[in-house]
Amino acid sequence: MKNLTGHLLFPTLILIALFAFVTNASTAEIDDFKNIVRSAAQSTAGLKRCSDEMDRAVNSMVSDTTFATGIFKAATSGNTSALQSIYAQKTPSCSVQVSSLEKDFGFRLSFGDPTTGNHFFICFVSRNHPVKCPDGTRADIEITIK
Amino acid sequence: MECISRKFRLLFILPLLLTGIHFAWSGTQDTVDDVQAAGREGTQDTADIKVTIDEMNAFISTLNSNPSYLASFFDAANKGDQAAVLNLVRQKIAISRASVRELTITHSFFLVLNVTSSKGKQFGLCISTDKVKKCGNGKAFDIGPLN
Repeated sequence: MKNLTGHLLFPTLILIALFAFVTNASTAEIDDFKNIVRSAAQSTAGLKRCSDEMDRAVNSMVSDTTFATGIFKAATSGNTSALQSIYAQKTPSCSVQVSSLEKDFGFRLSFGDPTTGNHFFICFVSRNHPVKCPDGTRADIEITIK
Repeated sequence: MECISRKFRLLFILPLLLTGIHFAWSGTQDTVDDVQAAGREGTQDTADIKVTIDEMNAFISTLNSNPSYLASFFDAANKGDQAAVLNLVRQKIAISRASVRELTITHSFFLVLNVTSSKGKQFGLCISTDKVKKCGNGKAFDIGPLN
């Protein structure tokens, strides 16, 4: 009897240890996954905020004549900081920068999420501008995500 | 008599000429209408990007906030079950088109999803629980444009 217990005890202990190891490993894996998802959620939430604000600002160019007039004046006079602050009114959590401004209003803006560094670049050109946006139209978006 | 006729002719021609010059000149000048026209083109792009990013955010937020969705996704990805992974993804990414570009299983999973917006902008969404094989940015999660 003692011999039988001795024989059973050892494999049982090994099985228990193995089970504990496997369970622990899978728990660790799902915990890792949860951590990955948590940081991913911060990144996509920042992107969402920024794309919402960018969309609102661009919509205001169409619906708000005062806003459009301000952009027109700043862009045609080459006033980068004025152009930046006009767009910044519509983007409280997303930082706006004018990355290029050319004569006859052709400009490129970046809307960036300060927490993640992700950026949306949007290009606007007038009908008289010799160079169009990268997609050949008067407005185009490029995205740089970090 | 001839002088009066010439004056009348001038009276008609001059305003016409001035109007023509005005239109020709204004045709080459940018106006506020131009800003609004460019904005109108831009809104189509921003709306397209916004919807796609909203959906990708909804997918990741649901993974983050819904434990049973997370467990199902983790299980499907770990088994390498592309159909089950895609089925879960498509519950959240419905308007944009999502597909699995890569799902590799070693002892953990490496997944890259393709997400295409209605206007054809493509995004890659990478999640890796693999300790060795990381996403393009060298991290466990990456989201980036493909075109």
